[in-house]
Order: sequence, then structure tokens, then C-alpha cells
Amino acid sequence: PQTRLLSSASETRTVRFLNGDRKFDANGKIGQTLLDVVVEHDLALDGFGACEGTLACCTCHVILGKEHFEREDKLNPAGEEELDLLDMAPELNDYSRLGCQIKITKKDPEVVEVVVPTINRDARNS
Amino acid sequence: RNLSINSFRRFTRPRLAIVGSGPAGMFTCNALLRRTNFAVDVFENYHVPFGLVRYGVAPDHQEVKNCINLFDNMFDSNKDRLRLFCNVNIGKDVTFEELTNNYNSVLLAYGSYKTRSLAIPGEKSLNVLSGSEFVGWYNGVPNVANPSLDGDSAVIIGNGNVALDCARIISMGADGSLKSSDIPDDRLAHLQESKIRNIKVLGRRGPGDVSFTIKELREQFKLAEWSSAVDMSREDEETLRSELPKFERKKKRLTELLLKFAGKPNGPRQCHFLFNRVPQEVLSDSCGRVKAIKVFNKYTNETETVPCSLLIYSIGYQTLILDGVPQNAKGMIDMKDECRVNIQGPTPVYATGWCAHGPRGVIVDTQQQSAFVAEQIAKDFENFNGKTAVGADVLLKQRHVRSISWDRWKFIDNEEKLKGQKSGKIREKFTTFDSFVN
Ligand SMILES: Cc1cc2nc3c(=O)[nH]c(=O)nc-3n(C[C@H](O)[C@H](O)[C@H](O)COP(=O)(O)OP(=O)(O)OC[C@H]3O[C@@H](n4cnc5c(N)ncnc54)[C@H](O)[C@@H]3O)c2cc1C
Ligand code: FES
Repeated sequence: PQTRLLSSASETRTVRFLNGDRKFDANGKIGQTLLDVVVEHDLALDGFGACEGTLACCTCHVILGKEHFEREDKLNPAGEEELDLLDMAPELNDYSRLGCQIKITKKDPEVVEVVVPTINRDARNS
Repeated sequence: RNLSINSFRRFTRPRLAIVGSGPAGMFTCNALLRRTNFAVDVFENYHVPFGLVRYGVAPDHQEVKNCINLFDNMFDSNKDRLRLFCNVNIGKDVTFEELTNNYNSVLLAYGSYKTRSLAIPGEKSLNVLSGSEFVGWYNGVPNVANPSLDGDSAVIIGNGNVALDCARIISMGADGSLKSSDIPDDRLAHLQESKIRNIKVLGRRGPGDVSFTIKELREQFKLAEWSSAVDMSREDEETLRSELPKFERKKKRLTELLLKFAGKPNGPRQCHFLFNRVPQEVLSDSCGRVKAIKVFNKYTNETETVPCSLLIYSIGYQTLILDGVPQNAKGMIDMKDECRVNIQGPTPVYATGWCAHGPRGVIVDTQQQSAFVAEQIAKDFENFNGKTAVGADVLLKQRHVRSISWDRWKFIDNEEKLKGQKSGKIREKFTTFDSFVN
């Protein structure tokens, strides 16, 4: 039973989305994108993934943890299109990626934490 | 939460009016409906909803329009408390004061997309169009006349994304790639006959001051049948190269792209970006049609004449303030803070999107602002226990305003899709709606 438990546990990961002072935990399967997880669980991340993962909008912008980013950057670095879109992100950061391009992988820890940036104020001051 | 409070609240839900059904209004609406028990009425001036998603975003950017699916779901799953009234002009059919009197709260999301005039002699010459007119034309806004595309060269004044959209759509007109998009058949046919082989995009400032987004700029450079290049002085080039390491990521990448394409275009179809050109006068032929634009060249300190048979300008915007909405010294809506309008009286008024902050940024900016304002409205009404306001539908009936409801729009939507299917298009937009208003 223990091996079964382990193997089934390894098929999914908990993705934790931090959005302002809100926090959403959702189960995602290996191979699913972060956008898939948001859609499947209908998470109340307002307007996340507006172009439905077609690399056209940047509303799925997430900030990864340092290690997560580096892991991804080795195996699945952002291409030109993704980088171009990220340049539109209001809160662009060195660890920024698009949630529709980041898949859950076996290498991810049990809980994968990502930040979905919010603006505290409007764009006038930026 | 306590059940009795919840059921009590249901009878005292606030009723909100949203002016404008563009992304700002719709994203905010969606976020609010998810967070609160609000009832919402959306008013839209056009016959059909979604603002610039339908009438601004270019036909080769179909994926950007996928956000409509989100709005569709929102209307479908909130039939009991969400209504749409298209073909209703707030200010004319119903006044702003009437809204504040008939709703518990009002959200202004009416956009701000009107190009500022060129304000130089000759600007009224024939075939001189604003960017908003040209964009509206190719996107099927009703009652916009065909521009003449029968000449060899076009000049586009402006260094923002609207200028790029105009250049790109002219460039793509002939190559067939718009065929399956939602561009109306008659507008595409007109573009396909375009004789324009030479496009000049003029900026009044330098190549370091452009407000293009890199994605759109790259799209122009990628057009296979067009040779596109950026004209900059050797001095500009050297300055930009030396400053490059200092720029933040976004500006750095954009500048690198500009530098990569520095030079002169060649071949049968050319798009040329020119800088430091200040428009001075539009010259016209004996029929009154534009034949050239005179510009002051800040590099050489001389006046130049750039020939063109089509002139499009997109150099800033004009703000529009609804009657009754307070205005500040800058001619913008007078705001108390990021989203609250500075207005007296019992009805809180909010503003978001382009009407609140000017036409800057793309959908993601609008979406982020919307999430923010929805949170603020939800907070302000957390302890609401007033009476649900009556709404403005009675006024509309009394005045025989022929509004178009959500269900009516879905009928139109379906007709457009069916009609489009026949020729392998996403949809064939109607450009008149007389048969749909009851
Ligand atoms: C030409 C163009 C192309 C663009 N392309 C892209 C793109 O490819 N990707 C991207 O991310 N962003 C793009 N954008 C930006 C995007 O369109 C805006 O960020 C967004 O539309 C702003 O939303 P809004 O709701 O504030 O304004 P709008 O979309 O303008 O919506 C305002 C709505 O209010 C209605 N209205 C106005 N006055 C009244 C009244 N008195 N009564 C009732 N209703 C009223 C209008 O009819 C309109 O439907 C583009 C913008 C333009 C201009
Ligand atoms: S969902 Fe639009 S870019 Fe990822």
C-alpha cells in the first residue's frame, strides 16, 4: 500500500496561488499547465488566462520561486513570444513567466507556490 | 457565514449600473459577481457589446478576443442578476444623474478612444483619417466610409500601437491571411485592392521615445512580403547602443529590436519608420485630396515634403466626460483616488479602464485595474443594508429606447457566426442592425 500511495501522490501536486492577501490551493496533475489548474478548479483569479492559453494576452502572468524558475529555465525556457508578452506585464519580475506555459512536472515539490501579482493601485503611478 | 444574514442580504442587494461593455466594464463585472450578491445592469452605446474587443483589436489578433468567452459564461451563469442594454447612450437616452438616482452605485467604464485632431493647416483634406476612424473602418463599425487605397503611398503619424495596427492591416490586406478572421468581407475586399506599396510611420520624437509594444512591432518586421526598417541617425544609433545596458528589461528588448532593423527598406513593398518629424501642413491636390505632408525634420532643421495619398494620424487622444461627471483641470474625470469619482451625494460612483486613466496600456492593464476596482467596490458595500434601487429599465420603456438585450445579442452573435461559417470565417460582422432592434 505504501508504494501505491507514493506513486499516486506523485501524479499530482498542490499548486498554491498567492494573489494579494488571498490564497488558493488546488490540485494539479503532472503535465497540466498552471492555467489548466486555474480553469479546472474555477479559481477566483479574476480574468486570469483571458486569451485561453494562446500566447496573446499576458493575463496569466505568474512569478515563480527562484528554484522553480531556474528549474523551468533549464528545461522549458521562455521563448521569444513569451518574453515579448511578458514585457506587457504590469509587475514584471526576474522570475516572471506565463502561467499557460508552465507545466507541473515530476521535479516539482509537493506544494508549488506561485505569485499572481495584483496591483494595489492603478497604473497611473507606475 | 450566518445563513439569516445571507438571506436578509439577498433582498437588499445593491444594484449597480455599468456604463460601457468593454473589457474594463466586463472584467470588473465578472469579478464583482463572483465576490458579491450585486445585481448589475450594463449599458452600451453600440448595438453590440465588448467595446474595443470587437471594434479596436485587430482582426489578426483573434486570440485576444477569446476573453469574450469569459464574458459569455458570466452572462449565462448570472441570468437572475445581470442584464445588458445595448444601443443605449448614457447622456442621451438616460442621463448620468438618472443613473445615480436609480442605482445604488455607478461604475463608469466608457473608454476613451477618440483621436486628437492634427491641428495643422489642411487637416480637413480628403483621405486624411484619424487612427480611430481607420481602425473602426476595418473592424466593421457601422457607417464608416471606405478610405481610398488607390494611391501608392500612405503616411501614418504616431508611434503607438494604433499606428502599428494600421500599418500592419494595410500590409496584410493583400496577402490573404485575414481571410478567415472576423474582418467584414467588404472591408477585406477593399483592402485586397489596395495599391499602397509604401508606408511611412512618422514619429515626432526619437526612436528612444516610441510607445510601441514589442510584440506588435515584431509583427510588422515579420511580414514576409514587406521590407520594414527603422530610419535613425548614426548619432541616435550610437546613443541608444551605449545606453542599452542601463535600460530596464522591457525598454532594452524593444530598443534592441529597433536597432536590429535600423536601415532602409528595399524591394517592392516597403514600410519605413522615420523619427523626429513634426507635422506642419497637409498639402492637397486640385480635388482637395491629400497629396503630401510637410514635416519639420528635427535632425536637419529643414522642412520636408513627404508624398502620400492616404494620411492616418494617431497622436494622442481626446477625453470625453459624460455630462454631470466632475472633471479636473486636466480634462479627465475628477477622481478622489485610484477608482472613486470625486462626487457628492448618496450614490458612490467609480471609474475604471480607459475613461478613468486615459487610453494607455493593453488588455492586461485593464484587467488588472478591474480586479482592483471590483475589490474596492465589494469592500465599500460589505455592510450594505439599504434598499435595492429600482434600475433604469422603466425609464427606457417610457422613452421607447430600442435597447438590445443579452439574449438578442446572442441571436445576432449566432447569426454572425453562421454567416461567417459559410465562407470559413470566424464570423461575418453585421454593419447595420436595423433589423435587430425591435
Ligand atoms: C486599435 C486598438 C487595438 C488594440 N489592440 C489590442 C490588442 O491587440 N491586445 C490588447 O491586449 N489590447 C489591445 N488594445 C487595448 C484594449 O482594447 C484596451 O485595453 C481596452 O479595450 C480598454 O477597455 P475599456 O473598457 O476601458 O474601453 P473600451 O473597450 O473602449 O470600452 C468602452 C465601451 O463603452 C461604450 N460607451 C462609450 N460611451 C458610452 C455612453 N455614453 N453610453 C454607453 N456606452 C458608452 C463604448 O461604446 C465601448 O463599448 C487595443 C486598443 C485599440 C484602441
Ligand atoms: S493565457 Fe493569455 S498568454 Fe497565457
